[in-house]
Amino acid sequence: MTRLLRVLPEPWRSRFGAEINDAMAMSHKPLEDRVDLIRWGVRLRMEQTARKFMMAGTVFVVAGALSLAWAAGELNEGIAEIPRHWWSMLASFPFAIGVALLLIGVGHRQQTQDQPGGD
Amino acid sequence: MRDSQPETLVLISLLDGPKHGYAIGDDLAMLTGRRPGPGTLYGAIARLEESGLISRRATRDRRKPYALTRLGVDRAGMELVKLETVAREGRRRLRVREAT
Repeated sequence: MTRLLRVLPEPWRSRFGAEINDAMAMSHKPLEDRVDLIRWGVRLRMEQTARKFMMAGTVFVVAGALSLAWAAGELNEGIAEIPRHWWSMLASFPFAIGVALLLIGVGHRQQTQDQPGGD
Repeated sequence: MRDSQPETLVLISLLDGPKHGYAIGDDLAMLTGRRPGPGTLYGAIARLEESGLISRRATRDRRKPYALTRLGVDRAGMELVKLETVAREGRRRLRVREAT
């Protein structure tokens, strides 16, 4: 049973592991309960992944916005001139990566929130 | 739309006093005819704890009981009102259907 508990991220494993072990030891439907536990573990890990993507995305968006602002400041026509130079286009990459990471994170989060709650 | 039924059932279960996780599962089996799996049950307990609706009591026992907070009691009341509204409307529609 301890091995199956590894499907849960560490904070939840240390918080609930002992209680879940006891519950599983007395389970009358062990296979269903194992599947139920695995589903919860997968969902928690997806939520953790979503949070990491959103944090990384935020950092990239802020860095990208700052670099775009700097590039726009260096150009006569400002933001409108950015696509005309390779170095200013490079400055927009962090912003684009950040937006992509945020969208992935939001998508992950939406998926876990839309899943039915189990039994 | 996320299913919050497990959380609602745990809140209702704790209305008559603190219980540890296994006892909550027993209570829900009695109320609904089906014992929730550990992922469903402890997932609901974790979310309720994070929302401040239940708290874990400090005891010497390895199994720590959970109890409703003041916020949890209020939320349980609100959920029961929602359930009663749905049940009342459902019964009314059933009567109308059976009458026609």
